[in-house]
Order: sequence, then C-alpha cells, then structure tokens
Amino acid sequence: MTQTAREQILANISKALGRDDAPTFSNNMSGVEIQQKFDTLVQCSPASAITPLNSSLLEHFTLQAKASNAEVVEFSDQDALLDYLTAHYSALDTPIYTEPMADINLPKWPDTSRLNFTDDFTMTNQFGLLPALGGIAETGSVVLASNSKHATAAGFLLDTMMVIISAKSIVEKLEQISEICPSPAHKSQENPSPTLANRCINIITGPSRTADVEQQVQLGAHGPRKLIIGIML
Amino acid sequence: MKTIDFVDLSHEALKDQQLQSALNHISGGFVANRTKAVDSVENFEGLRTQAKAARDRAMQDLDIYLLQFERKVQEAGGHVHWAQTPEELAQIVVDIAKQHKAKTVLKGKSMVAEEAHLNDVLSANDITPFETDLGEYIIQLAKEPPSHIVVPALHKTKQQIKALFADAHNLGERDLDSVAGIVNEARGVMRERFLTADMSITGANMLVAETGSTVLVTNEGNGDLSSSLPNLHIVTSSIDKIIATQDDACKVLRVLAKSATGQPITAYTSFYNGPKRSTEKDGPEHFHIVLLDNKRSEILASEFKEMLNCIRCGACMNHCPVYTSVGGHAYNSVYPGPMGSVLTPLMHGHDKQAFDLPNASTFCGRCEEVCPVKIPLPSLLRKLRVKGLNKGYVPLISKWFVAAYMQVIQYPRFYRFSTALGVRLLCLFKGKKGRFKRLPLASGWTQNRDMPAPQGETFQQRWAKKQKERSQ
Repeated sequence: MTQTAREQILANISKALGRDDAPTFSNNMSGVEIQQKFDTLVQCSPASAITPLNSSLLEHFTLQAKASNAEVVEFSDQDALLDYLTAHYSALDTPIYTEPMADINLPKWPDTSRLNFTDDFTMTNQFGLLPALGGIAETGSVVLASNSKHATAAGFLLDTMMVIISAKSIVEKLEQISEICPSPAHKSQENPSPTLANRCINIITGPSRTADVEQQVQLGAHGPRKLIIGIML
Repeated sequence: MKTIDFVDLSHEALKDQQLQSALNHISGGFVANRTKAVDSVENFEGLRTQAKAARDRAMQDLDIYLLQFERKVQEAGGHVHWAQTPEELAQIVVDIAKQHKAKTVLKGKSMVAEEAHLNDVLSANDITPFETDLGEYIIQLAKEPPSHIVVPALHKTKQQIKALFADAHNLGERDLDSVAGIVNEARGVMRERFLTADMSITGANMLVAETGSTVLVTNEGNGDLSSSLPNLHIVTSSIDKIIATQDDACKVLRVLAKSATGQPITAYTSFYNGPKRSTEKDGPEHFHIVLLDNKRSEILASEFKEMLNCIRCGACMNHCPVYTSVGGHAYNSVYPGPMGSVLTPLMHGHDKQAFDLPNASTFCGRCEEVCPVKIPLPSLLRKLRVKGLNKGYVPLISKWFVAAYMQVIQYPRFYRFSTALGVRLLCLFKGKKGRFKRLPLASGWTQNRDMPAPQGETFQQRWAKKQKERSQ
C-alpha cells in the first residue's frame, strides 16, 4: 500500500530516532496515547537561567518599554486619561478608535461626551486606544489577544497606538504569558494542555520598525509609527 | 537547478562595488548591535545553554511533538498538511488557494517558501503574490532571491532601492532620498493590498507542540496584518521548527532577536492558534499549516542532526568573514553563510556544486561562538568536506596538494626545513611594504587583497623561542 507523505515523514523520523517499531510507531498512535506520551516528555523543564529583576516590576517594565522606543504615561483614573487625550488628540481629523476596557477597570469607557470615538477598525484611523491583557517587565512588552472585544488588525492599522494596561497586570518574564492569557480550561491533571481560547496572542514591544534599507532603523514600517503605553495605576 | 559555482560568483561579488558598499554596513550594524544586546544581559551563556536544551528536547522526540502539534491545531479548527518535497508543498498551497478561488496573496517572509520557489509556482497558476516584508518586496521588484535570511535585501543600497521603486510605482512628487521616504512609500503601496487580498501565506519561527501555536516574530507588523485581514491563512513551515512547550519557545525567543538584530525582543511576537473563533472580531475563517520535510528527517538520522536546531537568526553569517566579503548570492542557495554551507549539501546530496560551500569557511570559529543554540558549525563543515572528498567532489589539484602535504608532514625534520626555507625566501622578496601584490600559486588570495609577508620565523621557531623564554 502506498504511504502518504505524513506516514512516510513520521516513519522516517521514528526510524531516525531509533524507535523499536519505527515504521508504525507514530502512525498507529491514538490521540490519548499521543497526549500521554507528550505529558511524560514535558514533565520536567530545564531550570531558568534568568537573573531576577533588581527593580520593581513597574519600574523595570517602564525602563524596557522606553528602551524599545515606546512612550509610557501613567494615569491615576479614567478622568486623568481623558484629560491627556483631550490635551493631545482632540484635534484629529479622524475619530479615535477604541475598544471596551472593562477588563482593565474602566467600565464607563468610552466617554463620548468629550471626544469622538469609533469602533470601526477598517478605516484608516490616525489614533486609537486598545486594552492590553498585561505587560511583561523583562522586555517592556504589552500583551494583547484576539477576542470578542479586540480586533487584532486594529492595532496594526493605526498610525499611533495607545495601549492601556493595568499596573497590576504586569508580570516578570516571558514564560508568564500563560498567566496573562489563560486557556478556557485551566491546566489540570485531567487536561494538562488545553486548547487556547484566543486565535492570536500578540506580544508588542515598541512601534513597528524596519532595518531593511542599509540597516538603518526606521520606525513605522507597516504597523504603528508610535506606541504609547498608558498605565492605569 | 542552476549550477552553483561559489568561486566564480565570489569573484563577481568582490568586484561589485555597490555590493561591497552594502556589505560594509554589517559590522557597524548587526555585529555591533548583537554585542551590545549580549553585553546588556548578565548571563547570556546561560540563556544559550537553555535555548540549546529546548531545541535538543524538541529534536529528541520530534515525532511525538509533531503529532501533538497536529492534534492541537486540529482541535482549534485548523488543518495540517505534510509535504516530503518543496514541490509537494507548493502544490498543496496552490490547491488550497484554488479551492478558495484566491487570486491575490499577501506573502510574509518564509524560507521554506523560498525552498519551494513558491512565488514562481503561484504566478504560474495565475495567483499574484505580494511580498509584504519590505526587504522581500524590494527583491521581488528586483526579481532576485534573498541574500540574507533575516535581511533579504541586505545587498541593495538606498540608491538601488530608490531606482526600483521609481520604476515600479507612479512616484509623482514623492521624495525617496531618505530611508524614511522609502519606508513610507512601501507602507502606502502595501496598505491597499493588506485590506483587499484574498489570502495570506506566512512562515513560522516555531511550532509549539503543547498548544498547537505557530510563533511568528517580525518587526514591521506585516505578518500580523497578513494573518488577520484575509479570510484564508496558510503557514508554510518545516518539521524542525517544532518546540515542545510554550516555556521552551520563550527560551528560544530570549536569544533569537538578540542574536539576529541585537534587540531584546522583536517588536511583534505573535502566537497564532488556528482560525478565528466564532465570537472574535477578526481573523481568517480558514487556517492551514503545511509542514515540509525536504531531507530533514534524513538529517535527523545523520551526524549532522545538530543543524536542525538552527533558529534562523543569521548571526553566523553576520560574523562570517567569507559571507561578509561576498554576500549571500555567491552561495547560490536559499540558505547562505555558514549555516547554509552545511544545509545546502545536505539538502542537495547529489549535487557536486553544493559541496563547494563547506569550503567557503576560514574555520575562524566565530559562527560557533555566536550561535545562540551552540551548533558546532566548523565541525559540521569539516565533516562535509570529508564527505565531499569521499564522494569524489574535490578537484584533482586539491587532492594532489593534500597528498603532497601529507607526505611532507610525515617527516617532521623535512617539514621544518621546507617551511623555514619558504619563510626565508618570502622574506627576501617582501619589499618595503611587507606585503605581496602578486605571488605564484596564491593568485586566489592576491587577486583581491595583498598577502602579508612572513615576519622572518616559522610558527614552530617562534613557539620554541617563547617556550625557552618562559622556562628562563
């Protein structure tokens, strides 16, 4: 019988790895068996080589974010954020793109009495605000995930993107993405690797850039030319 | 396949003033930035060890991780396809595109797509590929292959890019004298394409078995626009991109950008997990991954399996004295530089010309020193030279030279006498500058640079002298 490309590739790999029953090892395995073998293999993880941060999460996050050319602004509450927006972005030609921010404790967002907001992400907006699920202090990154409130493409079509995060949602290192974007079913003994809830998770570190022309860094290649991170204290 | 003649292409590259000018940017750019990034962390060596451990783990049980990855992608609603050859991969992509009646494609950077000459195959099937990465777009306009795996248009100067844009776009009053002008021009042209294309094809930096995620790192944001706006997203990748867990992926991410561009992390690191969920605001409804083998499963069984750990950062080529002298096109291969000199003969085992590439090394060892996953590139290159010799791919003159050398070194006294004589003779004719512009039997060297004259003593004479000084 002719083998499919999948069967042939898997058989070759199993043979290369010296499996006793190489020709059939991978091809005869059920989903449960695969999961069990996988769980056994990943029980142990190598120890971390990262040195602990020598400053607070917020301080380190801010330092790293600024180093990646992001602007960082701290706000005490929604009014302070609106004051900032009014001062800097009330004279734009296009409305401000925004998304619901209840998850970062801004339940009354958006306040349309003071600024012109829109939730249409396909238009070429100059400026927009998006909520982040969290931040990573190690790299100064913000983490966004596609869901019923957030459109992934929105953040990449804006000229200037302002990402709002809660100071409490900043974690120390990259490995903690799973804490920021938990799966619908949490990891457990019965379900050690649940399918992720979000189609897409974006770790964003500074504005869009390219060095494709003579290795000179130029901000604003295809995504936002400017990234502002608004931290709700 | 075109004939690869590394030596001839290198000669051309060395004479190309514009190429040499473009290559001159490497040491001040990538090399300096990497050094700065590595110095900014306390324990980069520890991070390299961790990344290597993560890659080793993935390769040790590759079959199980691939099966788990396939399961998780399917659970999320995606489709996984398998291709043994680049031709099969291209056919699978074309078939999916045709099923969806796609006519225009947003294409992100994918070295696997380069292996399959995917743009040519798409065009032959009346499907128009639009490269979205700026570097890839530049070389698409120039109708050239990439010359670097991270910066595909590394060989192009600003003036050459300006000329390409002027030819392809209706520029009007737009000024492209500055880098900003060039980047803005590409941004403007690409915007409309992002919003209207029928489908997208992106590569993947890693495939996470634990979650079925495809990891893509970019700086421009083209990958995220491509993968979110059209209704069909195809990822072209290879079986060796598997990583066991999300934690392991983070360990690789921690060294990848530092080694590639000298950034702590790229501007965008994205994890794609299948098609759009029913409640989500955007994303493709159809999600496919095509996994290419192309001899990788054979490499896994060989003494070259460590090459599969490569994370495609390009650090080895940025630090290679050969690559930085001749650029990527001289290698006439999808993968240039030291990593390409190992991969190419392994992927084209019966191609005599591919076995030229392992000789494109001075064995200075920088590639191994900077490799973020500690691939012993010089050792692999050396093994390939032996393989080439055993296959009869070494020119007769080289064989004779090595045979004569082998004879000489079997008699230490004669060896010492002949090298001392040679050094003395060269010293006699070195002239005031201490360098030779021409030298019999060394024209390969002196064609492009002067040969430094010996200082008067052989290595062994100097060594003996030093030892004597130390003992006194």
